[in-house]
Amino acid sequence: MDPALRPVVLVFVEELRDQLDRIRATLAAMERDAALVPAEIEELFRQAHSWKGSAASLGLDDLATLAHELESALTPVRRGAAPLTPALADVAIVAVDAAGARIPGLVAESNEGCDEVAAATRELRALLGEGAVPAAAGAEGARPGEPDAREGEPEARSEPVVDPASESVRVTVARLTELERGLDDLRGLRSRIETQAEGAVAAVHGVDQLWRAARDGHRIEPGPLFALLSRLRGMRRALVDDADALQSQVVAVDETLRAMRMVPAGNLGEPLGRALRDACKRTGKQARLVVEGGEVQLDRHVLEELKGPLIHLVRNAIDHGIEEPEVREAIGKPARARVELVVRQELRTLHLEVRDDGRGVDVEAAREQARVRGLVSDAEAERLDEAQVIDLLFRSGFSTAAEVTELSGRGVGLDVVRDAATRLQGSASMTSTMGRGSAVHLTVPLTVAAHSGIVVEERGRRFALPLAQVERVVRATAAELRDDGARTVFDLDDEPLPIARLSTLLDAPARGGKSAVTILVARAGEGRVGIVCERLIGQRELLLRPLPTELSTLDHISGVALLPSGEAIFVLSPVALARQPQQRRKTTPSAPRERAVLIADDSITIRSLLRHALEAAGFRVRTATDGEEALQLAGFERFDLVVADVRMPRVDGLQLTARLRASPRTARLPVVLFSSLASTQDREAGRAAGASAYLSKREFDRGELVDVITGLLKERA
Amino acid sequence: MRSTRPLSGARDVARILEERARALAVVEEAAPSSARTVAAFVMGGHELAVPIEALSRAVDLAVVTEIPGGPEHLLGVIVVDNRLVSLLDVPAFLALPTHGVGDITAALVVQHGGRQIALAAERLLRIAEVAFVDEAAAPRLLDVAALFADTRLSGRRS
Repeated sequence: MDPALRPVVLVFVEELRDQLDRIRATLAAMERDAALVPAEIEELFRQAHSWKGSAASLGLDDLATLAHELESALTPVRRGAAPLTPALADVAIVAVDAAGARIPGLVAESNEGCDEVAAATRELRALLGEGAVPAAAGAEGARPGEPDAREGEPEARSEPVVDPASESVRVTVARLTELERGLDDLRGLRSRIETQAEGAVAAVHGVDQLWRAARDGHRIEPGPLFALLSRLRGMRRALVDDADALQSQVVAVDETLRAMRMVPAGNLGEPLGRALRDACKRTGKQARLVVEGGEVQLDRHVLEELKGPLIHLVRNAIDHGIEEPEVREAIGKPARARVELVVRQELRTLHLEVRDDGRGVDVEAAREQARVRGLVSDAEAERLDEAQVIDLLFRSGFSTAAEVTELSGRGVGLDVVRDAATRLQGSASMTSTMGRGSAVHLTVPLTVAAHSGIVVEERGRRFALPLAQVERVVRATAAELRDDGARTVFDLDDEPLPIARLSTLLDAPARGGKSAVTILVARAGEGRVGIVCERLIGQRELLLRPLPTELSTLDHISGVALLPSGEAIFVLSPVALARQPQQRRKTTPSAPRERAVLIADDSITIRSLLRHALEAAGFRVRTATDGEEALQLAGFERFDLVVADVRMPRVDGLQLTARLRASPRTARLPVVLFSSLASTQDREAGRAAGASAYLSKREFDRGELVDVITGLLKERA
Repeated sequence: MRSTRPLSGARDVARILEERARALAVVEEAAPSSARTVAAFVMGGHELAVPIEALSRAVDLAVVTEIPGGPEHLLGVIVVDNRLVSLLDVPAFLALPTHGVGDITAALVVQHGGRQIALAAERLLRIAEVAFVDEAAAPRLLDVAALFADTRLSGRRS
């Protein structure tokens, strides 16, 4: 292909995606309601014609021919001479899918998808050659020697795999203009802030002059001091205003960018309809899909994440929920079942529900299965109410075919559905009425590209919680948290609020007594959870990054973001935290006072290792990356003991020990040197500097370290 | 807080490690057919190696963010080229016996099938052609594909 046409091909690809989506939507609508055929078929022809023209003008003859054959096959329907049978719709969808399968090849300039296009073209031609629309069963199989496009699972021929890097979105000029305006405003703000920075330099110079004058014994006149103060006040006002304006502008740009990512929920109708059709064919059942709320706009990423789970739910409904047509008729239900996708938006939350009018869950069978599989004890099985039994279907233990068969209900892979919802910081639940059907409810945030997060701190580590899910923040003392049978709760507004402690995640003992704690009251699915942490840092805009695959099994982590400092911060899922069993760890006593240990080591792993060991033993730990930082911390915080490496930048462990000994405030502070330098001379040097103990990293033993520290603290006491 | 940065700006890792290889490695006259070019490193007292073709880059380790509630074999995540990569403690992952603790100073980022993971290292040794005739002899060659396929790293629930 002419290289000059390359950019045009990429534009064509975007147009083609859109055209294929529209054709799928028209086919779905016509299949759903024959009354819509006259209007929808015209739209289909418009899109196919446009596809054909563009493809031909770019020399993409195979795609142009496919569009032409599609038009030919559907011409009898357009003329009202033939109905759109399911078989004809299938062939049309195969053609549309084949064109979609060619897209990655167009992007990559390869032949990928050419075979699919050729096969679909042959199929359409064969259909025309037969001179009639194929009978329902006639178009099912592939002709000998040709690949069967319908073989295997339906998703195998669903959306082509496209490299995310090559994905693009269509943006209106108005949106781009809006974005440009937002950027112009931000540029204006930057220039104002630069002016403020210049003013700050001048102010610092003024303060410096006054300081030098005072230091040299000169009298400071009130005039210059007052002028300086006025200037600083003015700067403060301007900076506060600019910060507000900056926040507004960032929000506006963010909103514009989010809007660019939005797509209508109705886009789900086509893949779900196809999954339903395939499942019906496979099982001999009859059902139709009804989409309500297709106009609701949702984040493209949310849509992509939910598409698989929703397809799964639709298949489940057909496979395990919907009865055979003759059974339905025998019990007074229409032979053709109804599966609904209902989409609803409430503020920034999206509610999706997949309902069916099938047999519903046999709760007693599910209870028995849970007991037999050991998911619950006999006593627990008896105690669970109906909703709790249904919730067990989301456990992975229920996710085998054998169990589902025995259950005669739903439950295949529902854990996967809940996982997907949790990954999006949402939740999944199910309701069911025996004989009348089931409904799976998914609740997810409207967008996930960028998050406002509440950043909190626990044991020196920072975490984020999605702001949208945090309702309020409460301060309390650890003593106000109480055990309520199986869980820890906090009485909030006369209601017991279940508690999840971040310290449990860190395997650290919970604080007790009068220690102050911060409780973030967060929505967790249908309920609420109180997330206990040491400190609230504040609200931050978080740019989420893809979570490494190996962390995707950690339910309590819903995302990870990079802070402007380059530091990573994990976003925790309140839903998963609420589900996490709260270990009944011993709380640290409030009296005697929790012992504080300062760790100085330039190795992150050693700091981390020692921190874990000492926190698990009940110590409060602070860390420093070298001796200099340790001295600064020891200058204004009270510590009971210092553990220091010997080789460190700036101030090494020996110098640190000597300087601590030289200060009256820290002269008696026990210092444990912990080093890989462990010769007799090294140990001698340590003792000479004033170390209380010297431990070798090569012979590290967690128990010994704790014993040595405990012994030294006792000696000191 | 300092950021994780490449081993040395524009210098590429292969050249640096090759320089070390020239200084440290004993190059065999005629490598047997089982010989492979590997990047060797030390972790937990074990000498380990990864095939050079699986190596993406080496990085100095400055900032590691711990994974709350994460498994012991994952020491945290690091930022490499603006991407988050998990830091794997290979001896812990393979349940190899370790003695004492060492300073983890660097990581070798390996890739397979579009995924990356960083292998924590106390010391980077060399790039060398090594004949793997005795499985028990150092360095122990890591099968990177098998590493990524392990259910503990594959993202699949075991």
